[in-house]
Amino acid sequence: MATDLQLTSISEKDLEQCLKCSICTVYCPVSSVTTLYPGPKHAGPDGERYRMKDRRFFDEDALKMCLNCKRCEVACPHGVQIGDIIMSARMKYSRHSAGLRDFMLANTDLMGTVATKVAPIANYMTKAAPVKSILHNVMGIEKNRTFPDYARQTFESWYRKEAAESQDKFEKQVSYFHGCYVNYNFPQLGKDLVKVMNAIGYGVKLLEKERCCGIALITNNMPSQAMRQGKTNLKSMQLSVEQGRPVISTSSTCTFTMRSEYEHILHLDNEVAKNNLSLATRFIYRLIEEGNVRLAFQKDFHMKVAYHTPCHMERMGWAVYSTNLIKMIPGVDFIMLDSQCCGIGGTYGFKKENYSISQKIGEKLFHQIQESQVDCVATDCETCKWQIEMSVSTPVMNPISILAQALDVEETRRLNKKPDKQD
Amino acid sequence: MKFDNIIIGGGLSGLTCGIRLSQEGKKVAIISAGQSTLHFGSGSLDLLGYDEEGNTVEHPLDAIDHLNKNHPYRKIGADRIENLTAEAKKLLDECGIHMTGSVQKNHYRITPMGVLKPTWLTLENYATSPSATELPWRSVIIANVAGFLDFPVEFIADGLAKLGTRPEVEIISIPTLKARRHSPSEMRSANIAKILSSEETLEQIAEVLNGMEETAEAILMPAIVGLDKEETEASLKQKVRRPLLLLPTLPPSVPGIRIQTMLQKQFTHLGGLYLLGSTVTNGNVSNGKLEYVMTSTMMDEKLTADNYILATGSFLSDGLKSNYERIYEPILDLDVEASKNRAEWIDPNVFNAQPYHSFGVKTNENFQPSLKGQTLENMYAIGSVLGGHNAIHQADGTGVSMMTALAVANRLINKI
Ligand code: SF4
Ligand code: SF4
Repeated sequence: MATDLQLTSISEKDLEQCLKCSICTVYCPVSSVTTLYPGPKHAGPDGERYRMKDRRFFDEDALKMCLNCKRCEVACPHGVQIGDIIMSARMKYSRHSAGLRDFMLANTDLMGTVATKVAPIANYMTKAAPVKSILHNVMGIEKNRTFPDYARQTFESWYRKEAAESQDKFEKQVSYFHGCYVNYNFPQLGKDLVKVMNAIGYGVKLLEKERCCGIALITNNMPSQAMRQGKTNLKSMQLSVEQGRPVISTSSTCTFTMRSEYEHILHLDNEVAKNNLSLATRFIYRLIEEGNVRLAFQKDFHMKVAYHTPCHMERMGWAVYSTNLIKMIPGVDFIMLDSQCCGIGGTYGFKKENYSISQKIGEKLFHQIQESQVDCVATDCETCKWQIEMSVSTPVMNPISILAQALDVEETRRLNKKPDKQD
Repeated sequence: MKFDNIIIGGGLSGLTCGIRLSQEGKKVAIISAGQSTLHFGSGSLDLLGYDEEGNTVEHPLDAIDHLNKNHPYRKIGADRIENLTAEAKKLLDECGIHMTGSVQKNHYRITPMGVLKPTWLTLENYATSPSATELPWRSVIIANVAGFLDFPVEFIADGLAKLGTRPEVEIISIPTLKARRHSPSEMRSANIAKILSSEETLEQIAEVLNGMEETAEAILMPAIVGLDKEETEASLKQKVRRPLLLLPTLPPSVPGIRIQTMLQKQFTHLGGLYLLGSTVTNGNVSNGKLEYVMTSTMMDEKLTADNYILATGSFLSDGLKSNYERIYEPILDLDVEASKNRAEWIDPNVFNAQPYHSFGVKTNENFQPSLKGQTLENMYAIGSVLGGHNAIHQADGTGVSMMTALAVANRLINKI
């Protein structure tokens, strides 16, 4: 009996697996630049022991400084889910509900729907000095930050008009979880994905219902809304899988959220995401490696590219798929940047109280990018893109967009046509 | 995904092996479940400090023949060890890790407890002694930073006094370090070193150190500089008028982290793939060969290679595990050298050599492990996961890591 007890009693998020080795404290980007944050070990497993005894040990202002980057978890040699412990503590012990500012930042879906309808005005407004000053002083949204532009037409409406019809002719299909960024800010990435997938013989469908993955709701402490949206997404994924379509995404953060945060933070049953949701680069790379797909590239394509590993990509351990795919392009001159946080942390860096921390964290990365003198930085996360483009002048592209530019579409199509369908 | 070699474990042995193989153009992947025990390192690499009876070893090469037959060094052979140490030194140099010491004769490092321990190589700028019984200075200042608790100055001062050196303890600070104390839990060596990385803060520290009375011959300081590069240490030394030397601290270890970072940089620079934060969960063995391994992060991805190298470390790193019944290797359940009788795992006197410290994966003379008695042709085990030695009692851990890593790498390079 006693045997069973000691050997099998693993606490939630492996809290008691902590060796107290302090390795995590070396790799936290926040405590590297500010002395105000107590660090992953203290905010995580150490603090949780106290909080479990008495809620008064919950220091909300301190824990709010965590970026949710999970770099501590990647470093921990004993599998302690440090970042998850911190994020869950914020949900469990906080008695504050999100204010208007956090509500606005977190509701990317709602804001996007409104803003794309009036895109030219919205884009003008978010750049105009008086508006920024109001946002800064009244709402606490940092005035030095550039807002991503809103598109005039959402990806979804483009898709329905221009792409939906032609997708049925493909024998193999995937569903695309485009995410808010592609839908409202940068439909081009979605168009690039459709182009690439079609070229390799895959039709692209949308999910029956897609909601924002909810990462910003999680980090801004709105768990019930996050859970609702999560359930909708999981249900749609289930349906898609039942209809024979695996799900792919072009955002490392959306992917990570649905594969990991849904389970660890929201306690949703996300088996369907864990087994069937992949990043587009991973999906395509594996098809190529298995010999099921071949790519042909334009002869005159040339680009010097540096890859930046987003924090959630690092945690998933999937950067290798994106970098391997980029390296396959003959005209690419490839540089791997050191894996380090860019500082944005989703909506974190938009808040005025975090702005200077956010920029300080990114300094080393920005410096390395400037030194590298590349044509473009490749990365799989949209918020990293905003942060890097705002802080250095180098343009940032998703690997899928680079692929779409480099691809010889006609030739790729020919290579991947099923012989039996040629007549 | 296919590689020439897959190394499971990204610490000292895994990286040494990975670098050597990559130098020969092999396509290598290292899979590492979190950061390694180099983060507990001393800034020195030990080859063989004590014999099996616990006597201090002065000439490690001469002592190898007296080790038990199962000791990894015996499997390699004393004559080959000498060549491999030269190879190891060259590899470290190429990574920008500059260490001094000789395989012919041990020197002595000073532990964070103020005790001398025999060792093989020590990073430049760290305090050492050529003698086991005394230090090279009559008097020293031990300068610690206020609020830094991972450097027990009283112990160190006591230890140095016992060796006949007069210690003076000085507690120093500068404004940025004072501010760091706001979060006492983060007042750690590596975080301090991040602050002490700019010329400006180094100037300030130097000024404080130079303001001290000039009675002591040297200043000893905890290892809280030089996290990214050795040059930071040199720069501080240059600013301080008296000889300035570093002493290792309690973990996390700044010198250890730097060694880890530099090795990792060299490995990726040579084209290796380093997967951090991923655990190898299982593998498939058929006909005496490992066919593939699976990881905690890559879903259904099978990672395959011509040869696999197990460098997962000992109990601390989960390379070995135990339950109430047995000691086992958690990935493939390889055969282990360990007592089946649980009462024999430990010696009740904690200061004695602990039997479980010498437990490990059982291998043949080429470091190939076995599964249910059958040798795995395309697999090797290196470093602390190996049995037959005792890193704590014999001070041979880092040496075993590097020697076995190079022995196996050379075998794989010369085989084809
Ligand atoms: S790295 Fe992991 S085991 Fe070490 S102190 Fe942090 S949480 Fe604990
Ligand atoms: S998740 Fe990131 S910011 Fe939060 S404690 Fe861990 S390393 Fe620090």
